[in-house]
Amino acid sequence: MSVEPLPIRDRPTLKQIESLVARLRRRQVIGAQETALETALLLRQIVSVARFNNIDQLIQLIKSIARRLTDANPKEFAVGNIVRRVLRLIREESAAALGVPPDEPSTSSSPAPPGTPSYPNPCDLSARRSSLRANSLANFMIMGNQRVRPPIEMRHESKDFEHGERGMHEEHVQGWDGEKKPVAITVKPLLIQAIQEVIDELETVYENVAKTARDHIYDGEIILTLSYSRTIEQFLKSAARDRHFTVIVAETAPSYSGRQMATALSSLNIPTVLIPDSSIYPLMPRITKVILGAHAILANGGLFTQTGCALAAAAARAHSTPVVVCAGQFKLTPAWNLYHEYAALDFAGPEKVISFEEGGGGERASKPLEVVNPVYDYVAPELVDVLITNDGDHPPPYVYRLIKETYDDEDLQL
Amino acid sequence: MPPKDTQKDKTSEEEEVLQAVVLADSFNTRFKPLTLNTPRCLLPICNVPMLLWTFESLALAGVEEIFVFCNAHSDQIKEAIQTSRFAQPAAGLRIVPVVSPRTMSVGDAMRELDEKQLISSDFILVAGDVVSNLQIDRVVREHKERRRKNKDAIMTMVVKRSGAFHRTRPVGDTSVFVLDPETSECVHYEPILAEPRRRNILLPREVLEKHAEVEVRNDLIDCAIDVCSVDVPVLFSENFDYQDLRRDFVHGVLTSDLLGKSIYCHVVEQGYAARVRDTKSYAAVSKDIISRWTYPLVPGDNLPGGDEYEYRRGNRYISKDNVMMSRTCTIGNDTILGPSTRIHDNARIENSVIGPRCSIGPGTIIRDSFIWNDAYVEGSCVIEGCIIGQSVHIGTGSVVRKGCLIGDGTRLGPKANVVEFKRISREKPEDEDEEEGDEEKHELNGLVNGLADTVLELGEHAEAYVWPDTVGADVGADGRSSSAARDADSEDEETEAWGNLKHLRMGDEGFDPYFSDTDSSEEEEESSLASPASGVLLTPGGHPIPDFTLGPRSSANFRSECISSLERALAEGHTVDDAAIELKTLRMASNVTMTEVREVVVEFVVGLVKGDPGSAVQKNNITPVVERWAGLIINLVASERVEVLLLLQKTCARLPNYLSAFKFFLYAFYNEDIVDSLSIRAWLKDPRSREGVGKASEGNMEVCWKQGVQTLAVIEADEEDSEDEDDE
Repeated sequence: MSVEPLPIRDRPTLKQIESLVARLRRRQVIGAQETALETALLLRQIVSVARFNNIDQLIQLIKSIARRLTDANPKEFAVGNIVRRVLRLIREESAAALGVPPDEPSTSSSPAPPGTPSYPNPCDLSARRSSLRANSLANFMIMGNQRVRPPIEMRHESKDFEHGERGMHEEHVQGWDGEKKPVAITVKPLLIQAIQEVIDELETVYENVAKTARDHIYDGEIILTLSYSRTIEQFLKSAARDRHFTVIVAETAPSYSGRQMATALSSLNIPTVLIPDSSIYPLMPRITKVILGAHAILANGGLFTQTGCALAAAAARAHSTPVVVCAGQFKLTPAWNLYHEYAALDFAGPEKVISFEEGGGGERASKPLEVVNPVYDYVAPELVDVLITNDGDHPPPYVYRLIKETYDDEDLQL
Repeated sequence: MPPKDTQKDKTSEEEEVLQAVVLADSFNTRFKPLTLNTPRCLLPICNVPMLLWTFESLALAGVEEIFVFCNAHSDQIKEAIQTSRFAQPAAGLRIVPVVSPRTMSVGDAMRELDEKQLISSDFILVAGDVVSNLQIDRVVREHKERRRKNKDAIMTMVVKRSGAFHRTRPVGDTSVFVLDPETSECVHYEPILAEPRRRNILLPREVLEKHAEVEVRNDLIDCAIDVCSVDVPVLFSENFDYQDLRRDFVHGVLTSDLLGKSIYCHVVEQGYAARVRDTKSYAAVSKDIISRWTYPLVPGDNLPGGDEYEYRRGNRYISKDNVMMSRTCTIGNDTILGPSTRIHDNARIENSVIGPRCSIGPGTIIRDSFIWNDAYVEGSCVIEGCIIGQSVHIGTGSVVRKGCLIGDGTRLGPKANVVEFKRISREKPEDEDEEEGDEEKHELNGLVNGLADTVLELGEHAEAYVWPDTVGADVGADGRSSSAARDADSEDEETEAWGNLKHLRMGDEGFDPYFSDTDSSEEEEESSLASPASGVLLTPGGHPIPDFTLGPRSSANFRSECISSLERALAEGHTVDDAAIELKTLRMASNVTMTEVREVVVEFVVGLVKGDPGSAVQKNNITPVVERWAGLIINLVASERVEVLLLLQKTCARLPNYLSAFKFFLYAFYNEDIVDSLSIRAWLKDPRSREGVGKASEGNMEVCWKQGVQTLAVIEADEEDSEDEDDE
């Protein structure tokens, strides 16, 4: 797009960006939740120090940084997802702050100054020129109801609080308005507030996913899970308050993170059995439910998830055992899996699988031993029965709608 | 403020800025001619300059200040540093190039470091060609911890467990570490070369007195990453003869009682680190990167250069940037294709790295090779196991065999056939006159290959020079090799320089150092060695290289070389030992037998004696001459005393001037302990001593033999006398 983002001059922020880029490259930040949180914190920092004349500039700036972050580790979708979330919020908030209501008439009607329509907003022009999401009623109509309504529901819980905040700030806007202060000062606190909400949501994601646990797990169930996932740990912990069930954990070679899961669960007094991965299939007839975590939920409802999960899901399908996936909403990713049938996305080094000594090949070995150590598996949507997120339970075919509702189309490609 | 920064503040309060010293120069020439225009540390490995890999591993360790010692091509290194993303202000790294044209070894660099007072606390010392994903900061912490308790722990060497026969631990440049398993203190260090092969190391007795338990480890890769305290440069200054970090410094510190310093090892179990020491380890490290041992430093992830690659099954990495691959081409396993590279129809690439902007012509087969940027390979070529430099042009139907290094900008004409282990460059080899180079080249371009029996052809339009095979230049440049050679005492040790470096070449199959004694391929190689002194200019038309074939010419050549070497030794008053070393090098280089050397030497020594035949002058001259050269002859003769007598006899018989002087020679030889009475007796009994060498001299042999009998009688009489004296 034509708008040149203004560079950030604040040194600590620059350093922080570089540091996150470097740590993403070096895989020092691992795990979707941690990455998401770091990204959100960084975005908050950027918004607070960025200097911009209109919202479009800010959006361009964030996008340019987001590109660097996603390039640093293209396999960590959480970065992109959080950026998309934030971009959408920025558009919404700024539109609201500048007086044009994209979603709810009530927001703008009360605090907006009378002279708002003629408010000399540079954002208006560029935003309209640049695209779809501008802040006029006409555009709102064109975009259609379906697309815009869901966010209202989505962010329902925090609305009351938000109102209060917004009201306060908009008074502020009015005060500055007369002096024709730049947009930045007007909307910044709002944006920071919005990003803070995302951060809060990320911090409570486990609890929120686990809220409905007791509705999914019954007494006497035997549940299979793999690998270590804090979401699942919380989920089972929450369920264990009301239900008695047994968990079978596959140890999940070669990371053996299943061992960690098993110890964590047994310390919560949940009856736990640790099995080797090879026993997944033969044990499947006795299992009543398979619970899996996810690294990313793709637009078609498929998952990128820990290695071994594809095996478990396929075995479950063969025995018609229900497969439940627990994941935070920030894992919804507007991406498709095009060419991975098994083992997907990221391949780690062979070190975890075989020692350097054995795997390196001798002096004479002309062809090195090829070791495949996939980090993730792809689980097709038809193998999954339900997705449990902090935003409610959904069947996989519904994911495309969730994605539409959560992100703006123009952000799909960062 | 984010938590990260506060953390950083805290650490900087606690300890000083972590510094690192990168030695951009390797102080040897194993990569020549590829390093003619590019410094070694900027050679690409997996399409990224080695220096950037080193920076990345240092950045990973949280290093904040890096000093890069550069010598050759320092301007290029500076530029590379400036343009790399590590030099961006936000990267939090301060990279300071230190140009020091005087440094010829690691020792010099360290002394300079001490002189300039750049280092304030413990620092990381790495070579500029290390690939590592280790968390060196842990080692630094460990080192500091240890130093707090023990001030004398001055250095921690990072070593990786790999097994004795790992490909990344090539025979020829390895070492045995003797460690205390409790403290991982390194109590003894011993470099191991491929040649001469050693079956034992000597462990000083004190080691066992001080340590209840020691581990002798021959399965470690020396990663060339050391955490040093400030004492290390100081020690280098104090001991100005230390050159190499390992052979001189580590060895010196460990064997010295006076210094009282100790050195520790950090044995890495998790993570990867290896140094690109030579072309062979270049190939091995490339393979390690491709098979993802360096994860996450792999193409497609955190490749230090920043190019984006797509990872496909079977360790294929295809650049995301504008790669053109024909529908019919075959990309085999373990392959990297750089950005903007074009692979044409039916080309076949396996187990190779293709640099950026290359073009691979139709039907070309590339195996186990490394092709750097902008190379242009036309159709129907076969390239196996070699390194092709930048902007090389290889014409249609050419064949390049394993182990070849093709220097930057070289042009190999159509139907070139480059045999194994050749080094080819656009420039003339260094020891030739450079000014004439261009003219001659153009002249020769017109020549058409007329010799069908040539093995090596460069093709019609070639612009290339073939380098002599021996690494004669390396012996001088690689201080380590030459110093080791000087210390040599046994016969074979002398060949260390070339014999050893031979094993460090890419594609060299090597041999099993413990089970097989000789390798046939090895012998073949040796037989095809050119003489070291003459850089053989190969005409583009494909003239044969004179020194390539074994035969009378080769030995004649050797003879003249040998004699000129001896004359030089005489004129410049070299010690006998030096002369012996020189002869051995020559012998190895020309692959002649020991007998031949002896022959030349004996003849030479005899020839030194001036004076008319039978005159007193001649007689008096004999003793001093023999005295002077006795050491050399003894050195060469070893136990083959009868042989040398036969040679002496033959020589005197052939040269009428010395016919009568034979008995004096014999006596002088006896006096100098070159031979003893037993061997003289054995010689007299030897049927060969009575045979004629040539028709004319047949009688002369007999004459000599008779003289021998007389002399023996004299000698035995002498011995009896002396025995008698002893008895009395």
